[in-house]
Amino acid sequence: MNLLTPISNLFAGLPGALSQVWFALSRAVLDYSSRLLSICALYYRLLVSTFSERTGWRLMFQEFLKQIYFTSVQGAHVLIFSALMLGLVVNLHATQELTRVQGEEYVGWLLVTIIIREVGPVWAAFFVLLHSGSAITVELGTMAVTREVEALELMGIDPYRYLGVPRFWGLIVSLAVLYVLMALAAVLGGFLISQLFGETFWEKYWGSFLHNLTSMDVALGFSKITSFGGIIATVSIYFGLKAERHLGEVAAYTSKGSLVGLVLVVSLDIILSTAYYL
Amino acid sequence: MLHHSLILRELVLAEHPPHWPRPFRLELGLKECLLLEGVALEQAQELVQVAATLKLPQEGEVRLWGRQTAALSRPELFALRRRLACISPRLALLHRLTVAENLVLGPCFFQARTAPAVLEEHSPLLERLELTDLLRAFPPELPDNVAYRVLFARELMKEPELILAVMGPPLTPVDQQRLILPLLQDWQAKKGVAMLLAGRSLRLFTPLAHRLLRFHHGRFLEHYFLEHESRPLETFLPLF
Repeated sequence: MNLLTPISNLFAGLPGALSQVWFALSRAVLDYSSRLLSICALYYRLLVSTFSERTGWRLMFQEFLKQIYFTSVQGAHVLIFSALMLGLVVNLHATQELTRVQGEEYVGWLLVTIIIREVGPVWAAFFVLLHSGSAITVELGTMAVTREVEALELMGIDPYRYLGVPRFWGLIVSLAVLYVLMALAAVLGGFLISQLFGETFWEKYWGSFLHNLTSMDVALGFSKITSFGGIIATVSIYFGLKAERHLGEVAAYTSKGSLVGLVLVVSLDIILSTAYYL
Repeated sequence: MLHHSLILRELVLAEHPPHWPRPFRLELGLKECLLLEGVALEQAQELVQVAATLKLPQEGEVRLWGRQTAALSRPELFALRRRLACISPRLALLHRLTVAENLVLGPCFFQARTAPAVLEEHSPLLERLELTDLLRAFPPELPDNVAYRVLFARELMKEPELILAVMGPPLTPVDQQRLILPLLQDWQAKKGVAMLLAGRSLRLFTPLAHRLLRFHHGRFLEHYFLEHESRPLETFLPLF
């Protein structure tokens, strides 16, 4: 018995193919809902177990620093380079199109909208999903398959607390740091390309950007980033610890985790952006 | 019930051996050492894992110190596991940590102590298991029998009240006789812990045993050891 049972009963009387399609569809919906609820439950568990016990803080802090080092330091140069490119492309199109309609003063507004509010957070989140999310899934999946997670359980250490919590907060903090770096790099990239099309003064360019930047933009950007960080970490941990039997499962769950993370990040981005304009 | 460390009641394992009594019952007293002999490695491993609450049985219940484990919350289960040692070839060390880091992880996590302090405190144990020179190695670099000794050390460093162990490969008979048996004898004499040792042949460990369950032709035959020269009768009289 589930929520869809009354509708399933209605479809049970229909001809074979139609009822089969319905049953396949309803099973898929229930599977996805169940998975989504499990991910939400894990998100809650990671938040709660951060503060539920007083033990293990030192070791967890070491894991947290390792996560920040891996995500923010080892991957930063790639994101900064890609952000420079993003800034170049945005400003390339903006200067061409805005000059045509004599709207050069809107460059700052465009940068804020694209870099700070919309594309920037998603860009950074996709980078972290690729760089760290999949790495977390592989690491935890391998640990689960090789019974290292079980070893922790035997020692009386909650794997969600020792392995999950530092990665969860590490990813959130790293994503926030990377977002700031990325925004600065993108603005700089935009400035560099604008030099090709005429003399632009840094003070004027930077001033235009700052003039259009409101606290609401920053708040939206950071609320997106922290939510994305939490979601990516939760999804990666969830799929990592799902692997049990063999290493082939790890590859399958890594791929699944990346896709689910991608869908959830985009969905949340749409929800938050819509909420901003309401 | 309070006089038992472990009770396995009406137990059916997920991979229940076809010749075993079904369901299976076992009771282990507070300071008792029970040998479960004639059990294949796979079956011994599963039994030990079920008893350590790492695996759920298909049917039946597991009680540790009188508490039904199926009714316990997750934190309660973790707290209970800290009171027991489970040593089985199926269990692993953490591969990305060195031997020393593996050994001190539990004490450092729960007691907020430093690694050198923990290693210093347990150095006699590490010396007895001949692990002192291997502390910087990573588990995948170790031979199987040495890794198993590390597992022994890690679990005994928990100062357990109950030891659940599978004896046999990868431990060599020489390891068992020279290192493990004297260690367990001392442990039993000084701390009086309960032990359940399972394996194909446990003749070597009879000096420890109060009771032996030997699997033979589809039945467990029970033998009691009232006295043994290495374990005199007064150990049965808890006068102190």
